[in-house]
Amino acid sequence: MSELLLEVEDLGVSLPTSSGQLHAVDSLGFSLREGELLGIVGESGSGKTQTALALMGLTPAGSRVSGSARLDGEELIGRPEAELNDLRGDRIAMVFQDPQAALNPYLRIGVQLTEVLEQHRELDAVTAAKRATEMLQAVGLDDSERCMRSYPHQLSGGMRQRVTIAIALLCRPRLLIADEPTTALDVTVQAQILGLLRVLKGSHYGAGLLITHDLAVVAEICDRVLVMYGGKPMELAAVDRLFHNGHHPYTRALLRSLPRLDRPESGLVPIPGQPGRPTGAGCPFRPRCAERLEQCAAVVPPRLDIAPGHLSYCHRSGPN
Amino acid sequence: MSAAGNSVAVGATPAGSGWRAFFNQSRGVRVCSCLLLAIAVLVVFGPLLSPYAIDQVDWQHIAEGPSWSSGHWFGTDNNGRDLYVRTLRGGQISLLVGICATAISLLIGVSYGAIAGYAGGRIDQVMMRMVDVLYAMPFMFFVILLMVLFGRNLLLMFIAIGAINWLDMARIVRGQTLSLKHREFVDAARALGVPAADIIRRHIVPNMMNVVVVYASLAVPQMILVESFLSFLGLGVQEPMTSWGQLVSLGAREMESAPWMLLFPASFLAVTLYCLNVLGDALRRYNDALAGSLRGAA
Amino acid sequence: MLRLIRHRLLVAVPTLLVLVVLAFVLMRLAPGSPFSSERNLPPSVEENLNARYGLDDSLGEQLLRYLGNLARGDFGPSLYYSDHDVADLIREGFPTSLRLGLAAMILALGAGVTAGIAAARRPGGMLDHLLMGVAIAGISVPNFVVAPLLILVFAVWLGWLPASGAGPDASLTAAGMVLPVVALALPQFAYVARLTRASMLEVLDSSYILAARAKGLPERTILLRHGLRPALLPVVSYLGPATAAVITGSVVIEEIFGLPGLGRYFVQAALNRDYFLVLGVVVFYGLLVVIANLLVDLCYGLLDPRVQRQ
Repeated sequence: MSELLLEVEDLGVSLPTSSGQLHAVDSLGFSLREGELLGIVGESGSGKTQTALALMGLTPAGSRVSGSARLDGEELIGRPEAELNDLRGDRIAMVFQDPQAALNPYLRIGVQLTEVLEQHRELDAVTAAKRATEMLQAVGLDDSERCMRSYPHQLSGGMRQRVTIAIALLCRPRLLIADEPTTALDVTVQAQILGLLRVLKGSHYGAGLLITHDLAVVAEICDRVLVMYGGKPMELAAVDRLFHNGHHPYTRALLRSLPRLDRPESGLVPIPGQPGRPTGAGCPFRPRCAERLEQCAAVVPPRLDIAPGHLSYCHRSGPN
Repeated sequence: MSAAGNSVAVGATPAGSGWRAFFNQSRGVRVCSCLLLAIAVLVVFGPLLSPYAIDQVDWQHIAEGPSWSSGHWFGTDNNGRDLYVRTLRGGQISLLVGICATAISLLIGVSYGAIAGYAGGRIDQVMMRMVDVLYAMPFMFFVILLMVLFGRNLLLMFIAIGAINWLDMARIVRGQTLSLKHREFVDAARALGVPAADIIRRHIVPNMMNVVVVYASLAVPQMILVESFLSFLGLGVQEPMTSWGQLVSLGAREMESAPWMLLFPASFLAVTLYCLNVLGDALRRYNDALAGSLRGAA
Repeated sequence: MLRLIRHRLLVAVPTLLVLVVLAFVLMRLAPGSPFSSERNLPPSVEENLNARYGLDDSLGEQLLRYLGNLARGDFGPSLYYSDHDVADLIREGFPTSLRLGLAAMILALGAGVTAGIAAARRPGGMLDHLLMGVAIAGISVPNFVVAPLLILVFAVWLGWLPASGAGPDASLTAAGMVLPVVALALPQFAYVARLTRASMLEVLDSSYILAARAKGLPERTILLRHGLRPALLPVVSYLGPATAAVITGSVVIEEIFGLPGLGRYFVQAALNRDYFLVLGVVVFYGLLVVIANLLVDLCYGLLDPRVQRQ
């Protein structure tokens, strides 16, 4: 049993909107072990990105973050900005969805890499450049010297995403958060980037959080999955178990909406309705749920331990 | 709490729409609206309260400071003329120029921009290239030339000042027209055989009124500024008429012996321009926010 | 980049041409003549003078001759200052105007960009409200109002600085330049500050700034290394209009502070119907604006790597 690298408990993020506070993330809990890759899956608006930003301490101005998140036993939530800044890019790093937008178009790639090392490792320019070049090679950019001198617009989409991964891994972070790292890329490049993330785990980073809306991505590289809906956790399980013994109605609906090569005759079943959040207490998925009960609208479903390491939040399997 | 400071909160988002929401934006907006209204009322009706006429010389009180007893509330100038009346009458001219010149620049800019945008293709290219060429000109010099060479005619001044500002308006309107001209209701009108001129007038122009109004509101203070600039150079309105710019110019010459001659017209001019700019800015923010919330709802 | 400059030059030539023709035609359509207004000359003398300066030829001929001379750098004679060439007068007055204008531009840019960044750091904060209030005031209050007020306060009442830019022997003094430069810079400072603030806020909201924050970089690095360059682009494109505005503004500022610059000639020359001097000044200023626009394009290329490649 390896030790816990990240422990998140009762995490909440609320954002200011014109019509009051929106609970983007609510009572979320999970943990991450050394060497593990956890997938967080959900539709847009399910709070996955806000979860990642909360861990980074980068939620928008005016937002409120509550609960607890401990990295190697150290609390992240509510830490002073200066201390967080020392952690960011060093012990926690993030890869963003769109590499085109995440790289500064006005700065050479080299600068965007070395500045991280100069900040956190206090290296001189020459050493930093050498380390940066090595890192570019490690993420599969063979012509790394030329790459260092390039501007982002001179690289392809896949190369750019390799660069952002290299930036994130420069200081060998304990925790790597990848927010939809392949969504903006071509399908063939997607597979390469996912392979890269898997290969570098352990040697270049401690554990990973992969945020995606795509169950196929999760199936490909993750160890465990957390399914989110409307800012709340729905189900948490090992990947195999979730795919074969998915418990939550939302998880099963998601799986039915995927194309299956092994059962082509079953067809695709889309989830009815639009993603959204009902007001009031209760389960956020209830308006679209085919199996909803009376209490779904009144009471938040409690956490259920289906099996060791398999949690679900649904009234269906409750005491009644 | 974990404020990363990476959000943009420019001005307040209006919680609703209409005048109430506009005025609720900030205290600055309310204060400036009241001030502007007060100045407008004073400028229009204020001269009636004073027994003096604009060109009346009071030989007993030449270049005297403000005094309640003499009835010269803002003092008199070095010709013994009442500064209160002159400041307010000057304001009439300045405000009139602001409004009329803006109207002229609107007329030119909106028709030019709408025609270029609606026609598209080569016509559009040529018309906009002409705007580019004109843009690079020191326009002010032409206005100065015009005023110097053709004498100080009020109508000519409106046109000359209005002609400076239509370029921005033309660009904005062209952009709006381009985005509107392939909307369904325009296509429908075209399919029904409505002539182009009528489509522009009835369907395109009315649909960009809010943007036009915003830019027009920001143009008014600029026009007043140009007029006062001309008057300052002695090229604006002619005696006995006056304007704020001209009064400032006269005041600047006497500021050591009679500072009130500078301070009264200068403060009226500055406060008016300040308020107009604040309100124009607020109107733009309000309009942006409104457009944003409409887009969000769609 | 080269294409951009070529395009700019292609626009510049017709611009200058239109400028000259328009000014020329305007001048000649206007009533009055250089010799009739103030000096009462007998008609025969006036005819002689007209013949001497070629003013009795047809308008078209005169225009063509003027354009031809211009192309050779000959701005023609001054009709009012009878023993001076226009080129001489420009050479005489321009250094003062240039010094004034450059100092004002540098002050406006430096202070405006700094104020804009400071305001953008905490949008809606105290400093933001204060600076933007000052900026709106700077835009609202014309510099011919500010200039006399500055003189009134700093020269007349406090006596800290001289009221006139020129010293006793008409030479410029550093202390004498302070007030004119400040008065000329103020509106441009205001525009630059507002532009910088708005574009900085937009930049700070972009994904690459969020990504830079995720690297744990200090606020200073984020603002100056990551934010400043893109935030400066709108400011750079404003430099063209700013040059034109400073030139226009210098007309009144030179008047108020009694500086022996080029701007002062302009109004006087137009009143005197000094055709060649007015035309010369207009053409010269037009050229300056065109050059400023070219420099803007070059700066743009330096700031934005994506322009360089094209």
